[in-house]
Order: sequence, then structure tokens, then C-alpha cells
Amino acid sequence: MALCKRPYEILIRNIKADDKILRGLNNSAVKAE
Amino acid sequence: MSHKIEKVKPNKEALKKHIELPKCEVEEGKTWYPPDEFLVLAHDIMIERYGYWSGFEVGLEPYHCYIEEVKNAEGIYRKAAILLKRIATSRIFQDGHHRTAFEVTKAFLEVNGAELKEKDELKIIKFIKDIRKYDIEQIEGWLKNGTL
Repeated sequence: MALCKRPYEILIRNIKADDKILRGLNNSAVKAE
Repeated sequence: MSHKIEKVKPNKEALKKHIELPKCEVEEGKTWYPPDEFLVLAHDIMIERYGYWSGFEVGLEPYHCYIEEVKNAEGIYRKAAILLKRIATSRIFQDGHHRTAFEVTKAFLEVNGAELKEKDELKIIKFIKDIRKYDIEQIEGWLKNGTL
């Protein structure tokens, strides 16, 4: 069993790359309120 | 990030500051499942970067049940479908479930050697927004093939 940061590094990289998607999903929260 | 319930203004600089990334257990040849800390960090970044309500609603207890359900499922895309649907439609946090579910599921697939087939951003947004309409089998097919 190895301890590593890779899953977290993937998460951060994907969040940066998915900015348009995440802003789009955030808009649904705005409309729902 | 604090877990008290408060309305957070979006901060586009959120990912520019240094984040001390934790380590988690990854065993070659075995499926990796996102631990609590992973889910919470993903959620906290969503709220800090894109705004809205921080903090928990019912807390992490349902997530432990979802992970057990994911572990008991066969196939990486079936597991991912359960993870995506359960987090997206849960009340673990005050806000940000769809965004968090998407990024946790995407990372889950990638760490386990798979990937989200659909690349079109607008189609992804529409599917995730409409996730309540779809059952696990449909979500599995979409994750795997990009079609319903």
C-alpha cells in the first residue's frame, strides 16, 4: 500500500481544466435559489 | 476552509494559492475509492472558487453508505455511475453537490485507469444538471460511451 498525492493532483488539475463546466453547473444553483 | 454555514463569494484566485495536498492510499492493481478528505477538499474548492453556501447539511454519514454501494458494484463505470448519482443527489453539504460529484467521479475514473468519454462541455453541463432523470444504468452508459 503506497501513500501518494496523485489523486489530489488529478483533482486540482481537472478543476482548473473544467472551469467552463463548473461555472455552467454553478449557474443552475443560482437559478434554483 | 471553515465548515460553518455561510454564503461565500466566488474567488477566482482560489487555486492560485498553495494548497498542501494530503496523501492517500493507492494500491496498484486495486480500485481506489475517494476517502472522506478527498470529497471534502473537492467540495471546499468548489465553494471557494465558484461561491454559494459552505458547510455540511447532513454530514458525511451518507457518503460512507455510498462508498459501500460503490465497492459492491461490478465494473469501474458502474461504480462511477453510482458515485456520481449518489453524491449529486445527496444533502451531504449545503451546496455544490453537482460540481463536487462531477469532479470526484472524474478523478475516480482517472485514478483507476478509465476516463469520461463525453468531452463536449455543454453536453456535460446539461447531463449533470439533469442527473436526477437518469438511472444508474443510463449514467453508466453515458460515462462509458458518451451516449444514453
